[in-house]
Amino acid sequence: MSLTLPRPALWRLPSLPASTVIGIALVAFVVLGTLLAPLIAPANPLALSTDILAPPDAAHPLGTDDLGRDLFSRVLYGGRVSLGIGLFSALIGVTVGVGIGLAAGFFGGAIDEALMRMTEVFQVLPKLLVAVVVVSLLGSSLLNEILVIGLLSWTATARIIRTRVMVLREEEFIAAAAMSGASRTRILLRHILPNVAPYLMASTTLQIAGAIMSESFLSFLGLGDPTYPSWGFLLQQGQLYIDSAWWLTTFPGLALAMTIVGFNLMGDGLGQSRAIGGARR
Amino acid sequence: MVANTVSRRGAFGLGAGLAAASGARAADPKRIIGVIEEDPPFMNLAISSGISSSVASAPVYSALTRMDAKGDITGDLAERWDISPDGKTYTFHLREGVTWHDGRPFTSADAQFSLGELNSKLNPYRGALKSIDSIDAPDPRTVVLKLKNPQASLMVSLGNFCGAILPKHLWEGTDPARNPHNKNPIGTGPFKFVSFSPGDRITYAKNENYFIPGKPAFDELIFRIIPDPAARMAAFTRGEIDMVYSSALPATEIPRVRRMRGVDLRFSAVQASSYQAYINIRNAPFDDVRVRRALFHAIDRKFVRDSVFPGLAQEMVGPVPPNSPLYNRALTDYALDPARANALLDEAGKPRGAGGVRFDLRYLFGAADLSARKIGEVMAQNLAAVGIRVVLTPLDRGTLIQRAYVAREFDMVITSFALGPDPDVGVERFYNSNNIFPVQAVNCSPYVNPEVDRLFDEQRVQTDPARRKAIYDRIQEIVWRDVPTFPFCCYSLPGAVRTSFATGVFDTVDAPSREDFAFAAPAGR
Amino acid sequence: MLKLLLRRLAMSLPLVFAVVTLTFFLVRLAPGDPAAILAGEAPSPEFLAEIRAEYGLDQPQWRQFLAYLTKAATGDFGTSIYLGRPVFSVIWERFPATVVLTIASMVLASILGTALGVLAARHAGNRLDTVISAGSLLGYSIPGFWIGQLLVILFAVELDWLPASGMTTARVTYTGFAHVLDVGRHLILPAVTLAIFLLTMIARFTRTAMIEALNQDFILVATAKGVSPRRLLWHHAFRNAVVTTVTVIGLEFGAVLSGTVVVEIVFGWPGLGRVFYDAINRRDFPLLTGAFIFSSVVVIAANTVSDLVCAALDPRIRR
Repeated sequence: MSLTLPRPALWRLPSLPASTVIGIALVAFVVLGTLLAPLIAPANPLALSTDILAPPDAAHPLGTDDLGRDLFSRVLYGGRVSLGIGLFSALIGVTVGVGIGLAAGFFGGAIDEALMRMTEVFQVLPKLLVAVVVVSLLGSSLLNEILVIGLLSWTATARIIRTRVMVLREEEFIAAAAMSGASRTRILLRHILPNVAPYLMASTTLQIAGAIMSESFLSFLGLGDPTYPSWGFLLQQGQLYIDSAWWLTTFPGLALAMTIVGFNLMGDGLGQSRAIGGARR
Repeated sequence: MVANTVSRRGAFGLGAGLAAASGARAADPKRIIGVIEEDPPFMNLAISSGISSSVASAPVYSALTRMDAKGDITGDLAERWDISPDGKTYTFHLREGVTWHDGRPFTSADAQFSLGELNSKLNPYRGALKSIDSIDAPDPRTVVLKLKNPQASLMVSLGNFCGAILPKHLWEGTDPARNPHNKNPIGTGPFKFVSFSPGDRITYAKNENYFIPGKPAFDELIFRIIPDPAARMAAFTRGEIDMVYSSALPATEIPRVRRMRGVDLRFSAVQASSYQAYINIRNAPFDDVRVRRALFHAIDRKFVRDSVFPGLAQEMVGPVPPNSPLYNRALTDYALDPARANALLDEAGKPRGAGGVRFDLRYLFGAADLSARKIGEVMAQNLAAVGIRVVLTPLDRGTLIQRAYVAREFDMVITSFALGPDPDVGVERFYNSNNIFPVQAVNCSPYVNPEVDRLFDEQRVQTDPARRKAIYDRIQEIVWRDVPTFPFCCYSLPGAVRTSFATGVFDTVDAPSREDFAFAAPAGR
Repeated sequence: MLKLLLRRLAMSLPLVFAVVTLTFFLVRLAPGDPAAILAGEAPSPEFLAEIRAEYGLDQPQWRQFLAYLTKAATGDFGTSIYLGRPVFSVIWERFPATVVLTIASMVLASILGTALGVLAARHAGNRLDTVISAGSLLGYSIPGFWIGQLLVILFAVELDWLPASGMTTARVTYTGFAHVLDVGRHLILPAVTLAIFLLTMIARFTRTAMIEALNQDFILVATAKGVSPRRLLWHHAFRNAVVTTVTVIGLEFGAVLSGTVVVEIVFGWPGLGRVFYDAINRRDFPLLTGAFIFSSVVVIAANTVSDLVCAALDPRIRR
């Protein structure tokens, strides 16, 4: 017996709302800039010069910092760090969240109960405070930041996926697959997972935004990794110069805000906002 | 970092300075507002050493003597004193009519108890008092110290960080760590402690019975507690606080403060602070002096001076700060010469490996220490050019102490240290092998050189200044040759005061002076 | 209702236990000798040993944990290593400042957020809606500390309208109503900064909830029956907005508390957020765990209260 299953909506290109298009454009712009950093950047982002705290001019489009480093280059390369942290921690968060959500929703019963209690514990924790504790204890490194942010940001995904799976589980085509003798794992992977995929896209996008924000919080408290200065790190470094050398906070701050706006618009559009409105911090 | 409280000396200085603050011209001169960076756990200069503790207890206590603008010793609770010709007996004659803030009279028994039972036993710098053999109080106005051997720096120590005088009647027979007066200090200083509102402020009121008539000029003193440097400077810029000094005034803010109108910026003439890194000389490859010297040829200390401490710092040549009378001017500096550094590293058998890297250098610093971080960033660039990869490792205070000073898992660890006022106090501690402990601010490299140890002992009992200087010159030569530490730069402690609210805040009674800025050294965080 | 309350309480206890366990072991995972921090700069080895013994730091971890649990159950979180005072009293004396700050910002966020959300919903799709949506999007896309610092520079340093830091003026001592006004003036900038995040969340959710409510059948019926749109909006839909706001506050309370850390640092506000950061910096184990557990309990409580309020307002939620 063969069954025609409904295709997941992932590859259908609906007419996107303007805000989503703006979001995608912002993200594309930022991603492109950071990817092309080696071609665009006028200088090595770490190279020192005696041109200290120079305001923006032709040589340094965004000025220089207190060690004479070119801010434009630093913003471009900082984007790699911020986006990298965002992407990888979101992937961790979404992976864990999907795993837990699928398991809870699909198996139900005691497993569901146990997993949901655990989710509640994580949801209740003041996550940023936990992140601060962990990073300050284990040391400021990119890996630690990614891990801790990722491992603290799966609860919303887990809940959404669980709900979706519980709905799907009742649908006919799943029952049909089960009757046709497909194993539970197969059903989970072949039939349920593809159907929650659109939610994952949205969830991941929103979590990238959240993770970049969380990283800036850690940087503000002096817990950023100075070897790989992120936007949050640049913003924090510029703090003391906020009025005397405005460019040091303005440009990293704008880059950060622009990116987060972009990811949020994109995520809202992808997830039709209401379905996953709670997927932020 | 709490690493440099040698300058607690200045603690008394500021107390007296405030006491002397006279010419306030503003509308409401009755209250003067300062700022500190964190809640002080104690307010007891005799047993605790944190910067915040020192600053917060400074206005409350007095010592037998204190140091004036030129670094000379003048009287405080002691009116005058005699030193026997053999340099082993010190007789202090105390002021009449001094009372504690609780109204009880101050006598020689208080001084005897404070020096003998508190400072000699519990002060973190009690080592500076180890020459004392006995302390007697033959009458209520006289204290006699008998020494095992002459000690050139004793008066500096007594007048500064090792000589706080506390009331015997409140401390005798108590457990000093739990005495409630650690948090409710009673002293003889110009201001009485009134209240402590955690995270917010500490309030003091004028001591109406202060032993210098007519002082202090202010009715109330308040220390606001503001940990964030940007917030602190915003409050100062706006005039919410009147004075900000030493560690509370970030080095990077000096150029801006200099430009502020109505602000008097001064620097201590006596007290030097430094940014100095220990090099872990027990660890390969830094056990090789050639590798250490290569660091000196590769790192651009002038750039550090100009970018991290603009208009504030001097480079250091040798371990003793240049404003010390014992500084050895004959030392030659290591020239900035990356080629030379490369050659030294090759010679030391550290060829470049994959990616042109010879080896990693773990550089540890306090996560909140902006200057240390910037120094690290400069260093990372400079050393990359000679094939050394710097691993910047910012750590919270606890982890830093554990990793660097207990476990010794570092190649370089940086902190700010006060180096004065006398090198016996500020410098010897880093190089004498009798001072190797798993704690910070001691000999942490750790450096063991019997000749240096012997020279330190020789100069300590030397009463002829010229001969003492000659010995110190030799010590500096040897240390600068062996370079177990990396002094990046040193600077006079800065202080800024809003002249619209107070003038003469940092002037002492006897002479207009800047030395009161020596109040507390940069916290290094 | 009582059943719901009991249910929620029964759920909260294991949560608190989990938080206690997690935090206790978390802070002890990494190296760092708290005794060395307490002892200060150059302590003698004996003094260090004494401090370790005094604080039980020389005991095996499981014994430290058992002792800690026993004490925590009685509200005793031990003694702050650095400050040498009971943890609970340190937290308790700083808590009011944070309460003032969070309540001020929640009130601000609730009123403004709901108003903006309702406004946007009424004009859904219009230019006003777009402006409000874009504004709220920006609100949670800019790091709070940056916003705070910009506000300080603008309103305190440049315009000189409001104080830059602290909770009260140090220059003059105010009493009575003048004191309240003084605190109010100091409260404006930090409360606004802290409110921005919550405000944007509330505006977004309110807008969504309102649009949904306005499209529901009973509203259509009511409109058909000739009930005026204004009356409809306020009477039928407003309850939705309140439920939404309460839910958002409950959900985001953890984020608000984390936000107080930033705001209290930027504005020198003498609250609990700064205790937290100081405790981490000094590796003050008892204070750190105490502050963290306290914060978590507050968050759990806020969650519970928010659930109960929602249930009271909206019978459909009751289970």
